Amino acid sequence: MIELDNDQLIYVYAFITEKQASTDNLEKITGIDPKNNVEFFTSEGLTAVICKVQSEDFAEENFKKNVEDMKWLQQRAYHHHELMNSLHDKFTILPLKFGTIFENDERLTNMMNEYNDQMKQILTDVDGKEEWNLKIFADREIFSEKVLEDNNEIAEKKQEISQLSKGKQFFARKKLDKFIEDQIQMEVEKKCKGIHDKLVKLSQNAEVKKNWEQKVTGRQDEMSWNCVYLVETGDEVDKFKKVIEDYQQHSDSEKEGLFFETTGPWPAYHFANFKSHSSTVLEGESN
Amino acid sequence: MDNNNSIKQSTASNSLVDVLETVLDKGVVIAGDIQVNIADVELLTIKIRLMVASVDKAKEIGMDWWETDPHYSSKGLKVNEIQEENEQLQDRIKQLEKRLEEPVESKK
Repeated sequence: MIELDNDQLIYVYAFITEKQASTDNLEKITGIDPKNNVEFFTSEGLTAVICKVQSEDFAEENFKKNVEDMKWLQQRAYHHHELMNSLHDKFTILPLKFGTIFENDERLTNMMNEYNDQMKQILTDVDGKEEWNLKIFADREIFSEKVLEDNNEIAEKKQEISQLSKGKQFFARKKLDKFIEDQIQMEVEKKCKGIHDKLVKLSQNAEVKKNWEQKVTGRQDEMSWNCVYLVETGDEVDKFKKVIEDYQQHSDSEKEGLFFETTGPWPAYHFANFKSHSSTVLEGESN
Repeated sequence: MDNNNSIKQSTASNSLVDVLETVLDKGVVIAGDIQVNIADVELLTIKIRLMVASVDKAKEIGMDWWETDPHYSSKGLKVNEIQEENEQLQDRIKQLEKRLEEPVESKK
């Protein structure tokens, strides 16, 4: 059991099986609180990877204030991320989100026992797999050119509009612009969906995420796809990356206006949900 | 275009945004006694971008890519153009300097 001072809390990084934990004795890894080392905490065949933290840093109100401080957040988030990667190298892990904290060992034990089966199931599911994020950005101008080229209807409509009276032209143009926008959107979505379907076949699971607005990405092209894929480590990952590289090459040589950004390998953060099943439901899953 | 750019390894050099997007994602529901839901990763990203006012600071945390990537930023394109122009001008100056030296030498 963990010896906690009155003002200490338990920060939990991840869960692993007790069996795997027993193969390692965690030699002096500095935790998220630099004064404490990372430890194992075991209950009913599961082991939590934890670090004792001070409540002055991590009690709810203090924590909320601290994460407002970008420097504080950056250091801790990177620590979480790096430690998780090193755990992921050694074990099959169920990674937790940054900032998962328990008040005492009893609360942690209760949780580990209550969700014991689910957690063990997830550990089986994510074994030998890793997470990859794919973002596809589309250059709307290039797509717009293509739509205008391919679509005779638009040229005809433009011709018609030029014959109209000034007042009518305004509204007719607006309508046409909207039509063109929709065509562009459809074109972009079709492209992304096709790529996604191919990647899903190489994945064990996938979760479509929200596209970020341009003010978030700071880019001139538009985020048109954002999805995480759970892929088997090794050959499958190589194939997965090859598919994306090929699409990028094709897009470059054909000037399709697509840019692919892939990050990974990540521990299976998005596929370690043991409370909510709904958010792992796939859109467009075909296997 | 450099295709290797499209695959980024998940290492310490990952941009802060990539890391935050992954480790803070709201989709991951777990069961801590305390779980700080940091507003929204998107809002946070905007905040980071606003905070990163100077290029140096941006470089430090790997947030400067859109500034100088010629494929995705007109500003990046300009930087490249200016660099090229600069090199051409330097060459031209060198050539002119050489020419200036030549007649002087021939007079001797």
